[in-house]
Amino acid sequence: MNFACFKVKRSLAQIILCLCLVVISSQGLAQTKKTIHFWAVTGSILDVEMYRQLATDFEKTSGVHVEVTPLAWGNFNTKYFASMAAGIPPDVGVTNLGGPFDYSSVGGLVSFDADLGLEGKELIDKFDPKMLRIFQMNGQTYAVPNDVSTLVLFYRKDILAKYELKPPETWSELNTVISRLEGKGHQFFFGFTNQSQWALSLYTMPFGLRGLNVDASGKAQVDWQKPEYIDGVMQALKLWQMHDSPGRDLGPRALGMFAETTPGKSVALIADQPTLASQLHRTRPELDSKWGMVPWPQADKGRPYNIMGGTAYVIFKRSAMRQETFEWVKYLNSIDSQRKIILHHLNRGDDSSLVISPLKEMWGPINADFWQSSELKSSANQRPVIETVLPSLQTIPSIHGAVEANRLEANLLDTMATFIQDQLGAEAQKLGMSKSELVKSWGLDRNLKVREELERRIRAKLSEGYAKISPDALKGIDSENLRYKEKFGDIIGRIPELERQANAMTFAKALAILISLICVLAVGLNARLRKYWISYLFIAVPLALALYFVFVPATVALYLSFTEYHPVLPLATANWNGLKNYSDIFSSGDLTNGIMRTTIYAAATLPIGIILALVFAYALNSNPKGSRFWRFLYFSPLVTSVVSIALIFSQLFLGSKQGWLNSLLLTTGLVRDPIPFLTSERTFLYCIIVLAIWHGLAFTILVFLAGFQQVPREQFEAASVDGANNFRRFWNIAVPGIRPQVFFVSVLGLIGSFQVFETVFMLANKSGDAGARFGPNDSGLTVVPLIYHYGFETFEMGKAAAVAYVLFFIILVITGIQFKVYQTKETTS
Amino acid sequence: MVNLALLILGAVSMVLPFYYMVVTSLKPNVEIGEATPSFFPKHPTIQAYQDLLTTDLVYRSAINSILVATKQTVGVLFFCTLAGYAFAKHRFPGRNALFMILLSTMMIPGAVLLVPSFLLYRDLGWLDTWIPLILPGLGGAFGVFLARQFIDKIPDSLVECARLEGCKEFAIYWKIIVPLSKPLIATLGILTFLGSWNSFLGPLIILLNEKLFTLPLVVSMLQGRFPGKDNVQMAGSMISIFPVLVLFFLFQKQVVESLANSGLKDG
Repeated sequence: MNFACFKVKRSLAQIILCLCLVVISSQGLAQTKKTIHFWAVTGSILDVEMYRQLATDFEKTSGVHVEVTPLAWGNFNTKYFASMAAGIPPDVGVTNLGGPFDYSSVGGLVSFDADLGLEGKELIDKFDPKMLRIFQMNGQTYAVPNDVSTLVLFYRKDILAKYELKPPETWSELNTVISRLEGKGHQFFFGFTNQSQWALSLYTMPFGLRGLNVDASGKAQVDWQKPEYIDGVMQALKLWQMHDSPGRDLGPRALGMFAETTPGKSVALIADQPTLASQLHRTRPELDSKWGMVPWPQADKGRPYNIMGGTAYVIFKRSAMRQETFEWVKYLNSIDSQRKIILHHLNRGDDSSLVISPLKEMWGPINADFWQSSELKSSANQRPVIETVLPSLQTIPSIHGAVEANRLEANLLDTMATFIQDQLGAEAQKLGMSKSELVKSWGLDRNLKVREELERRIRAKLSEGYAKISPDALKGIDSENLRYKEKFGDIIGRIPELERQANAMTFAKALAILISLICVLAVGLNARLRKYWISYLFIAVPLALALYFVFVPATVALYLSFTEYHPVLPLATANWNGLKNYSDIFSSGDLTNGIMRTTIYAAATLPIGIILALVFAYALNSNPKGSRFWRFLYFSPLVTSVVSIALIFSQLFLGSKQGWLNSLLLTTGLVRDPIPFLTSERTFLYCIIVLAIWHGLAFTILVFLAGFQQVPREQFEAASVDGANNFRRFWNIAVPGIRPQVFFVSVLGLIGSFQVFETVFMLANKSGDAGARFGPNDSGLTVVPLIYHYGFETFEMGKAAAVAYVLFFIILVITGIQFKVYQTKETTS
Repeated sequence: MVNLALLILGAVSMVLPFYYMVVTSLKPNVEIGEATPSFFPKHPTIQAYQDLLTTDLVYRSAINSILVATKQTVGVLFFCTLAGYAFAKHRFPGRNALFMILLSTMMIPGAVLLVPSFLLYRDLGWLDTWIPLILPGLGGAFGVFLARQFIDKIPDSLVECARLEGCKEFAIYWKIIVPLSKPLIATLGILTFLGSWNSFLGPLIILLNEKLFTLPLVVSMLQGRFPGKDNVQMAGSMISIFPVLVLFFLFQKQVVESLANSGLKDG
């Protein structure tokens, strides 16, 4: 027996040791080679391959290994901030054009002017100063551009020629050409800058006007209400919303439609998608002679202005190998590497594109022979176009604290989109047409009065909208700047010192350790308790984990909810600000709106889900043939991940004729125009609801089926004998029989509703699109998304914690009510 | 008749998204580019899968997911049943109070812990590792609760007998409780594995390095990595859904029972 016990003890020790090893082994081993960590935001996995090839060449000469990690466009900002907060950022990164400003504002980046000496200045000089504005803060440059992209227009020469149309050179010409094409039944496609707030500068900068400014004294200005600004935005809205365009993000479908000539199926004109030309050449070589490409048309009375986006290189301050990292950035910006990059991009099959190198030299005489080389033949008709665009490429300085203002404007654009679509729909209905027929009639010079009147109304609505949000935007920028000055003014220099200071987490952890110590000592020293040491040992792990990983963070969250805290800074910088977070989240309307949306979501999901589940569970309960098979079909969503399901639904809900659901609705004649399911604030939340019902149905059916098993068969049989029909049996016997299950499912569903996150995240395309919010006009910003938004998008941890505690309270109340009801039931039955 | 019609209608709507996934994943790029969608691939191909697997991203993340889920499941099974046994069969001072304290953690929604957990893991240096995905959940209150409920029903006499024969506590747990708790282990194991396999929000904020990414993270990135390439995105969905569906088909009875028994389901 002793031996057995020894064995048991040994096996216990082994198991614990194994578990420890299992946990520790996931930490990975430290690398010994001299390695630079390089993160790259990219939409193509082929970029990774390209960077790895370049890194291999770099390693040969420098002996430094470059570890390339790609980041998805949708998450990159969160990832960079999280890594900075954790103190483990990469050495160097590729990020979006505006990003470097954010990171440098919290002291995360190396300045190319101040920190890298002469060489840093030399590198900066390789770029047009107009391109660097967006990276500058307090006279320092924190990044250099990597790849810039601009709008161009692709057109089918043959189709335009057929209708005697010229490629447009101005915006009004563009509108006319599109309209004429539409009159003939063709469509126009606008890619991913469509409906994007960040693309607005394209329309307003030709007039030298930015929406947000800061004057010399640092005072913020919001110029949204200036007539010229509204003019620019109106142009954007007309192009985005008042044409028969099949919606954004069609991907390869746009290409397919570009190859079509049948009216009704083809897009004869494509704006955006600077990469298209090389793809076209690769995938549709038969079109080579049929398509043309022109620069993005200019504003009628403006100056040329053109840039729509791109990426930049940044070096992180924490890098332990600053010099090596800088060498790598210089290497990437050498003519040699740039040539390799261009060639690599041109040979990517479906993903081929012509990189617009931001290096001045690349386009200068020194590089002329490269552009003449035979390898660049496929881009021969793109280069001249891009060369004419180059002089007008420029970036605009970033405005500090503009996050909230930008969100306000983006939401206004979403509301405008809905407004315009509604108005179009109403006008079309008056004339007995579909929206696309109305748009088409304009192309044939009919109903022009309607359009004129419509544009007037849109403009009025737009002015009204800007008037409404301008004061809030101004207030937001001002308070953000003030906060920044007060908070960051002296902090950035003192970070290492502050990191060592005691903070809330230290106290909470100390308290947790103290509690554990007291417990251990109590069991060890108290003879009465010592008797039970083995019991305490058995329950020690769950209790310790609960203490450290639930109670400690919950306490810290409670404290944080009364403070102001940016996660990139040490926790000691959390400033006590009383109930301000709570009052802010309520007064800004974010929380009340979030709860409102959640309530709508719950109010739709729960009853519909329960009724459907009742019906199907009843049908399944009648034990049809092959019941195992039926159950498999009904239950399969149970085991599938929400993320994958949401990915499927995001395609089903595609807002153009090319989407399955729309295609189905159009062919059955239920609708006359495709519904922009995921891009309209009106329908977005309903898409989430449909998905939630579909995904939740299986579990509810399961619970109900289990309930039906407990309803005595005789009751059904007796009812049959009495002549009750199927529906009566269902309604009078089955449903009352499972009342407890219905109650149980409702409560669980209600609690679950308040925690919805993944579906919103996925359907809003937040993992794919850098500018994506939680649904158009924030229509999917329910409670948990709001926590994520504050915590990991605007980095206001205090507000995030406050929302979390409100959520906690709501769930507490729901659970309390459930408990009460449950108790009353117990006592009455 | 009505029942059957209803069943078919329901089944069609349940299956349609899966059907869409399979069909789209088998379409060649050209067919994705067609102006009107077809409900069946004209030239089925595995091109999308090949495109997807050009990097080891999906493959590696699947392995990662298996590793994380397995480690967590093994740990949960051990620690939760051990504690469940103590709570069910041992009489010791503070038993009920400690159990209630543990249970109270279930009241705190995960979202509340999102922000401070992130800070805690940051301070511990655990960001960008799997530890936060595995360790904190090892002694989950739900698991302990489930285990206690189940082990409670095992007759006390069995435990008493063993004790009289001089068996030590851990031996009782290992030789008597564990063998008698197979349904519990199945239930808790399946639930834990599924929960870990499908979890998204935690990995999303904790993991930075793609090499450590789990499958749902990679699936979520497909929208950005292969924009507009529905076939490749659906191939990714297939890879994440299909293995679980096959397992589900084989172990349907156990999974369904365990979910029905638990009365709870992780998001």
